[in-house]
Amino acid sequence: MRAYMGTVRTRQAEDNAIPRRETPTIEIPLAFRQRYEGLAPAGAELVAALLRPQKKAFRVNTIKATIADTIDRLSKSGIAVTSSVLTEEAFETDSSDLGLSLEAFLGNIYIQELSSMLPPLAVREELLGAQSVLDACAAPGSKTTQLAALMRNRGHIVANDIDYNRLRALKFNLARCGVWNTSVTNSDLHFLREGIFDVVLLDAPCSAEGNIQRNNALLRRWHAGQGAAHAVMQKRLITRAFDLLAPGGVMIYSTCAFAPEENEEVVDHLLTRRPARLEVIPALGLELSPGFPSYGEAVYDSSLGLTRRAWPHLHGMTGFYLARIRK
Amino acid sequence: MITTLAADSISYTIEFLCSRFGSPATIFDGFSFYGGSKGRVYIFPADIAPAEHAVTGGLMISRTRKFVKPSTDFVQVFGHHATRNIVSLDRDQAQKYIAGHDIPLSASLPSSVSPGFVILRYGADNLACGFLRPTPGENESANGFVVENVMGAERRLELVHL
Repeated sequence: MRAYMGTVRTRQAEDNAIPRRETPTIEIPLAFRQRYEGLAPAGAELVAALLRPQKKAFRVNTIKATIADTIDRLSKSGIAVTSSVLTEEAFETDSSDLGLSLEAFLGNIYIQELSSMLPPLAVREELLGAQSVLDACAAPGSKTTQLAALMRNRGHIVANDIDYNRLRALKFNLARCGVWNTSVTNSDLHFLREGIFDVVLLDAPCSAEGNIQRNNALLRRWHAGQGAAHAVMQKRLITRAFDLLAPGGVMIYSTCAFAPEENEEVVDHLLTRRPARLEVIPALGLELSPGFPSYGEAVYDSSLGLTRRAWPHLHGMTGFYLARIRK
Repeated sequence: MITTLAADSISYTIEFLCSRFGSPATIFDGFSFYGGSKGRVYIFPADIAPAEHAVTGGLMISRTRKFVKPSTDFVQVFGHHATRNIVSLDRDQAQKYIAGHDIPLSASLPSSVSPGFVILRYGADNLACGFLRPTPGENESANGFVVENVMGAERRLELVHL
């Protein structure tokens, strides 16, 4: 798919971070069922939800367009949409070719999972006055463009990604959305200057179990030990990302994984090593589930209950975890 | 890597874009200019400096090699300020241009349009930049023109909803 010259349509879709949905005929591995049916609230319904097709969500890019005008134009071009409770900019549609609309071409909309919109919304108030924001693992730019919109294209975002090959999609999406307050860097976080960012967003690379609903192929690669394997890197990243925060600054740590090893355990690791404290996540239009205070034999810091989880069967979006951390 | 742009390059870029499209130079008030690889010109809000070691950033408004080529982003963000060298496309033409095709123009062009880079509009939407040239073998007075597609391949799209 990267050799895009002959497949322009696919490239555009890829840059919008919409992996193709495969036919939902895949078997859920027994080990996956056993692990998560017991973990998730009303866990028996989780597996069924993972096999259900999902509506396509998108966000009006308020840098380039107004919500009312954009929805009116989509409606006139035959695309029916419904509002999301998450935020006024978010909508859902059954249309399979939203990415092939004039609105998508003009950058008036950005196709993005509802759960992926959560981290920037969790620091919405802080973003309005922020001078310096870091998106530490930014590609392909869904959250960076959302941050820029919430900041009204003011202040300064450093959109970093260590993977050079992913920068192309990031740059494409920033340009298409008319974002001008962002620097794109291709660094290890250790090369960024410490203590200068008012807000840090760390949407960490993860096992992406929460995305199984839209990408069944993730299940074929799934094994019970992958969470712990990702956690090694995630613990390094969260500690470094916290060091980059200015005193008093706020950080969002998020993943699209279900595994507590990649979520609560990583945040707990930070709490034991740095003067970090968890905060209540502001109301997001729907009541998310609390994080786990313990898992197996591990008992985490009692404040881990302030972190939040989105579950496909409870919240109508792909699985997600987020923690709001103050320095 | 992006670097500070020389003053003469800045004024050349502003002068070209504003004179070609009849836009006021004030559209760039509040921005600083930076240069990138392959002649790319970026604008940043003047109150921020690009991050150290930034590979890119801000909004790319043009590329300068032998001449200044306005970017699709320049057209979409600042195109509404333009007063000349604007070509209005109909639905079919807009769809074809966005898909990556050249657009032959048979209708006579208004006097405000001359060969060179043009802003392509569909209704009130500024779509992209095109390069207007006389059709080979004919001359301007015969009204034979084509809008050459200069939009980056990654922006092209087979639109279904227009």
